[in-house]
Amino acid sequence: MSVELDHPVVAAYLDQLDRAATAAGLSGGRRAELRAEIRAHVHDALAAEPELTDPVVSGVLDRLGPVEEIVAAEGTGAGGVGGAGADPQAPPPPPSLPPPGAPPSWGALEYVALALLTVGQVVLPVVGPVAGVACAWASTRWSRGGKIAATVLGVLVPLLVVLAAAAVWLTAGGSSVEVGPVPASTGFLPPPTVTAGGG
Amino acid sequence: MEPGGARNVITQLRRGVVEHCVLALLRDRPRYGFDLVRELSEAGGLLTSEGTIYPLLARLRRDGLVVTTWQESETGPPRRYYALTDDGRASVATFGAEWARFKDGVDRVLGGPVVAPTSPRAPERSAG
Repeated sequence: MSVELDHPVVAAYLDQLDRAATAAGLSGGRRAELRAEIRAHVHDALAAEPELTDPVVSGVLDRLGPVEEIVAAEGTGAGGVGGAGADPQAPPPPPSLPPPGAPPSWGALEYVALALLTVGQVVLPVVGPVAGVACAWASTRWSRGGKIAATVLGVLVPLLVVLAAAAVWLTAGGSSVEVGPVPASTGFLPPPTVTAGGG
Repeated sequence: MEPGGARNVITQLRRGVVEHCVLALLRDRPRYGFDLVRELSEAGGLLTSEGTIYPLLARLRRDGLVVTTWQESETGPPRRYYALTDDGRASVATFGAEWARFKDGVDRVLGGPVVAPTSPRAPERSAG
């Protein structure tokens, strides 16, 4: 559906935009708004193209312009398109109109993903988290970072729990097995080999 | 005057008017960013970098000339729609009237002694 937004060139462009906006001192709310609008723009522009090739994606981003130019047009006097009405003060947080949370970043799919990744771990041990990760990656609202976080939550955390349980079981019950420098108390955590060299 | 200077004037002019062109496009109905960009592009390249429309729209919002709402899209991420406020509508009307006068004045001057590019001003000094 909006696979194009996961295109590496698009993701890199949005990351550059975030970095430029952060460097320019834009507030978190404004950064989120700007990113959401640029993201929707890219989606609409690519949806209007007959086919999705790398040159087409690059062309859409070229027309958007360099991220520095977009951020510079945010109102610090360096007008990108219309410098009219630029107030001489630094851009304050918007007074009252824009909602702080910016775009709606949660819909039914995202709530289902979260439920599967949390409650689903217990109710549906394997299927739940896997389905949750699938839902997260199908989301058009979550960023790439959010999807990766969901994957960590859904797959790696239970995996670590299983490994920890196995380690505990091996050290407690199966003492004949000599595998491990893993202490029973800490499970999968690395052993505290830091010798206290205090004296 | 060198051609570069004329181009620079047009660039500045474009920057000055695009804001009101955006407001004008919102007179009939609310629109989202890409929709506005498409219209402005079809109107003869009023935007050089499409992405800069979003800071411009944010400025219009801060000035109370537009209000915004986020709406779900059937095909992709949610879109932010911009709608004209009463102040925005008044601003477009004022600009429209001023622009008409400005344009008429410039047209009158430019349209007066229009000379073909190939015809230099001949110094017809008959005196010898």
